This record gives sequence, structure tokens and C-alpha cells, in this order.
Amino acid sequence: MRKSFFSTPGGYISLTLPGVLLLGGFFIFPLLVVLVTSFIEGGGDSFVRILQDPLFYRGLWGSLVLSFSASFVSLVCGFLIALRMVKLSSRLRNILMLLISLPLTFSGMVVAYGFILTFGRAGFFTILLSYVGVDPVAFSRFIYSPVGLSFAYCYYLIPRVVFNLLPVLLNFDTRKLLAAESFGAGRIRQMFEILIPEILPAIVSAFCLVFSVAFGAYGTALALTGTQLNILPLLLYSKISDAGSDFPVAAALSVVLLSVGTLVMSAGELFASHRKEAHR
Amino acid sequence: MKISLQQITFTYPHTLYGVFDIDLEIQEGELLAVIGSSGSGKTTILKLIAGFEHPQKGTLLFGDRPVQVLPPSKRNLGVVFQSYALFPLMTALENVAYPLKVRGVRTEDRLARALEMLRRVGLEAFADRYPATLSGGQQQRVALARALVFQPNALLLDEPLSALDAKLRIEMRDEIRNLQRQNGITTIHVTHDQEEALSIADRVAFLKDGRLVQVDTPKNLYDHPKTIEVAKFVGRSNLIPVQVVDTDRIETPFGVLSCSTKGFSPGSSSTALIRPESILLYPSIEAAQSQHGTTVFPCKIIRDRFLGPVRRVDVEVKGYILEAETMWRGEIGACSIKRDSICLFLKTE
Repeated sequence: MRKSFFSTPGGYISLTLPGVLLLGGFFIFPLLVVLVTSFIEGGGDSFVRILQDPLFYRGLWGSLVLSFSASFVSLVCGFLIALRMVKLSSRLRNILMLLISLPLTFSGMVVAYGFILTFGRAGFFTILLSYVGVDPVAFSRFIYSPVGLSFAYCYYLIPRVVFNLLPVLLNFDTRKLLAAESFGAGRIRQMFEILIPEILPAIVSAFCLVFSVAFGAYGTALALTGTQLNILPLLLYSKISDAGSDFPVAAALSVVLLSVGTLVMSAGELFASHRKEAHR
Repeated sequence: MKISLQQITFTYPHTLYGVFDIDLEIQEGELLAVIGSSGSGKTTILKLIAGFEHPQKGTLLFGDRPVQVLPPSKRNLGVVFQSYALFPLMTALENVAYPLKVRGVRTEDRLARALEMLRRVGLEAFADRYPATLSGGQQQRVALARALVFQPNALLLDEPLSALDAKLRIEMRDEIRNLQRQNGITTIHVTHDQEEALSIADRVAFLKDGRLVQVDTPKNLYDHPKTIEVAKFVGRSNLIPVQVVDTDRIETPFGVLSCSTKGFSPGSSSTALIRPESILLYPSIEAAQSQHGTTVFPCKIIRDRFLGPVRRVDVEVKGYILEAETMWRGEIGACSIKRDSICLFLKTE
């Protein structure tokens, strides 16, 4: 039988080459540039410089706190939403999934302006609250604070949690919960002793994913707080702004951001695989 | 504990499916099998008793106590699901101990009781194993042990053997029967396997389209089915259109048969049930006549299936095909039908 062109070595190469070139040119090459710039350019001391800068530690701490709080709140909300969605008809669930996915299509800037228009000093919600005696100035200060920023982050982190957890919850054999219930376990007990332990790898994985996203996000933060907030992405932004660029330090900060994100994601994956093995 | 269902009706939201006007009493220590085809409502009955669904009408009594509004967690029932529903992150021992943990039994006591229960189902050596490392039969035993460890009021089994292979299924059904007898526990066993139901149940309930058609002992259900549906579902059957000749004879497409026609007037139409094993097969007409008198028919084999202990054959009798079963391995040339094995149904059924 005559072999088709695509099953020959030439065919394989012609099929894979565009993908390889794209990956190499737009992912691996820029990463290498960042690595080289951070370690070699500017005298090769960019890491020493950021480690000696108190702003770096404040930024790192701010990023960790912001990412953790936004991820935790998103995880709780996303989990509860996914749990409720499991019980809906598939038609209604699909409509809801479409609505929930909308925030993912907006850029961070759009989300930030949306929040300003809603919760800012002259925002729709703020004005509504002023009718019941809430001070608009005090309330709008909230949206420009780190807590307000976490709240804005949740807007696009919750959909990610829902999309991660929903398939797992849909596949969960609910007869285990019925069995536990027949043995006398109440709802809370079923959830904490049966459901959550079993889907924990997916929960950890969802948390790690949204943590990494939040850790590297800067658009919303920039639009809401300018560069006033001490978080690493904004520190990085300040190093590549028109006034006083410092590319080696910016590259070193990029490596830190990348490393933390990769580390967190790897920890999640490691936890999931370890759990799987432990019960075999 | 006695369980009574009185005029229980339940339909699933936005559908016409459910169970209707169910009147059923399960005596203390009895094993009742519920059978029926898919969608007949047998699992729904189990869900209503367990409390996973609540009837829209009727009364459910545990002993003399109405329980239809009680949540499942307050009904004290041991439930075994088709998928076993074991908790994968708990060992076999932890799984069995779980109902005791929920009841607040001290750790040492509950582990000792769980281990004793595992010993009774022959799995003491597997106490530290996780469900994923156990075979289907072992998981089934763990699920049974878990459902029995807290001395529940009754045991509800939802097709617990359907995921097992044929040999293991037979072993396990004997084991279920033994455990049920040892514990003297009221048991409701839902299955689509009529052979399984007949072999272990004290009584069998047959459901069709959400309605209870017949509740009887396995022998009566098989020998004297109330309707053609029961006859078709329980065991294999030849259902033959007949006409009643007189009080002692019926006319079939292949000849006149001797049979009691009590309750049927001469000339009326009916359907006769003849079980395959009630058709006696002989090598020749002469051999048949020498043993069975005159009501014998010449026949010819159309299909012959060797099943090990028996042969299942389709024989043609005067152009009509009958299914028969026999242990006889030789030639087949004639058949006769036992008089007392023929069961008549009204034609309208």
C-alpha cells in the first residue's frame, strides 16, 4: 500500500515545523532573552541588586498576600458556584458557563474600569449606597486598596476555579455521599469527610492556577492603584517605564515572577500525583 | 424491623416516571427481592425507603412508626450500591468503621468492631488496603460489612452483584443470604437478574411501569405467574395462543393438550404458558408413548444449544416452534407436555 505523504519523515517535519517555529520564536526565545538579560547584562548583578532593594521584599510580600487572599476567596466562591451548577439541568448549566466565561474575555484594564464605574467615588453602586447613608469617599477608598484589588481579581479568577472544578464535581459519584448520608452523616460532614478530601487534588490545582495568574497580573492593579501598591508586577512595570528603564532588573524580576508561578503550579501537580499514588 | 409501604406514589419532577400506589409489607428478617425491567421503578422503591426520595402520597412505616419525612441520616439503614460507593481515600477498615465514626463510637471500639465485621466477610487480611487495590468481589464484601457494622434496621441492596462476573455473582449471592440469615436483618434486594432473585429471596416482588404486579414466593412466581409479563420476565417461557375445548382440554396450534381449564369457559381464547423444562423430549414416538401415554407429538430439532448441564433446543411440532430444555444428550424425535405444568392466562393480557 502506498504511504501517504504525511506518514513519511518529511510529512512529519512539515506538519510539526510551524508549531515548533511558533513555540521557539514566541515562547522559548523570549524566555532565553529574559534569562540572559537577567544574568548577564548590566554587569550581571541584577539579582544582587533586587535582593538588596527593600522595595523588592515589600513587593514580594504584597504580591503573596494579594494573590493568596484573592485566590482563597475565588476558590471558596468558585467551589460553591460549581457545586450548585452540578445540580442544574445541562441546558441551564451551559448558559451559565457561557456567562461565567465572559470575564475571561476582558482585559485587566477593562475589568478595572468596570470596577471604577461601579464602585468608584461616582460609581453606580457607591451612589446607591450613599442613599442609605454610606459615605461615598470612604467606600470608594476600598476599591483602590489592596483588599479592593483582591475583590477585582476575584472577578476573573472565579471563572477559572469554576471551569477547573465543575468537570470534577460532575464526574464525582454522588452515591458516595448518599451512602455516607444513609450511615448518618449530615451535609457538612459529607462535604468535609467525603467530597472535599476526594477532589482535593483538583481544588489544590485550581488554587495554584489562580494563584499563579494573580501573582503575575498587573493590568487591573495598574489601572486601579497606579504604581502605589507594592506588588512585584508593578515594580517590574516601573523598571520598564519611559522614565528610567532598568532592563536587567526587570528581567530578573520576570525570572522571579516566572519561578514563583512555576513553583506553585508544580507543587499543585506534585500534590495531585502523590495523592493518587498514596491510595493505590 | 418490619417495613410497610402503604399506597406509596412518587413521580420524578417533570416526568411521568415513578411508582404508583405501592402496597408492600416486608416482614422482620425477611429477604424481599424486587425485580422488573429497566425503568420499572425498582430502584425508586429503594430510594423511597432509604429516604433519598420522598413520596408524594402514601405512608411509609418502619414498624409502626411513619418515617416518610425522616432524612436518610435518621433512618438507620445499611445501603449497598451497585458501584459499592466505597470511600477511595479510606482503607477497607476505615470504610467499615465510618458509620460507627459518624455515630461517635470511640476509635478503639469502632476499629475493633470494624475488624470483626471484616473477619466475618473474610477480609481481615485486607483491612489496610485501599478500595482501588481490592477486586470487585472484595469491594462488594467491604460494602456489605460497612452496611452491616452498625446493626441497621434494614439492609437495602441496589443491584449489588451486577458488576461481578457470573461465577463470583453466584458465590456472592450465597454469601449475602448467609450474612442476612446470620444477622436476621430485614433486607430488600433490588435486581434485574430474576435467577438471582429466585435463588436468595423469601419473596419476590415484580414491578412493571411503576406498579406492583405480583408479590409471591419464588416458587409461586415461577409456577403460577399472575400475568404474561411476569411469566415472560421470570424464567424462559413458551406462550401459546389456545382455545379452551372443555374443562380438561385446550386446543393449541399443534394439537389438543390435556390441562385444567378451571375459570375458563369452553370456546374462550386464552394464552398458555409452558416452561421449557416442562416439555419432555424422547428419541421417538414409541419411546414417548411407552412413558407418557397418548398425548405425544412428533418433533424435529430446529436449533440445538449445548449449555453444559442441559441442552436448550427449539423443536418444531406440527409447524409450531417450542423451546425445550433437557438433560438428554441423544436423538430427539418426539415430545410431550406435562398436564399440571400448563398455566392459562386471559387472552386480553
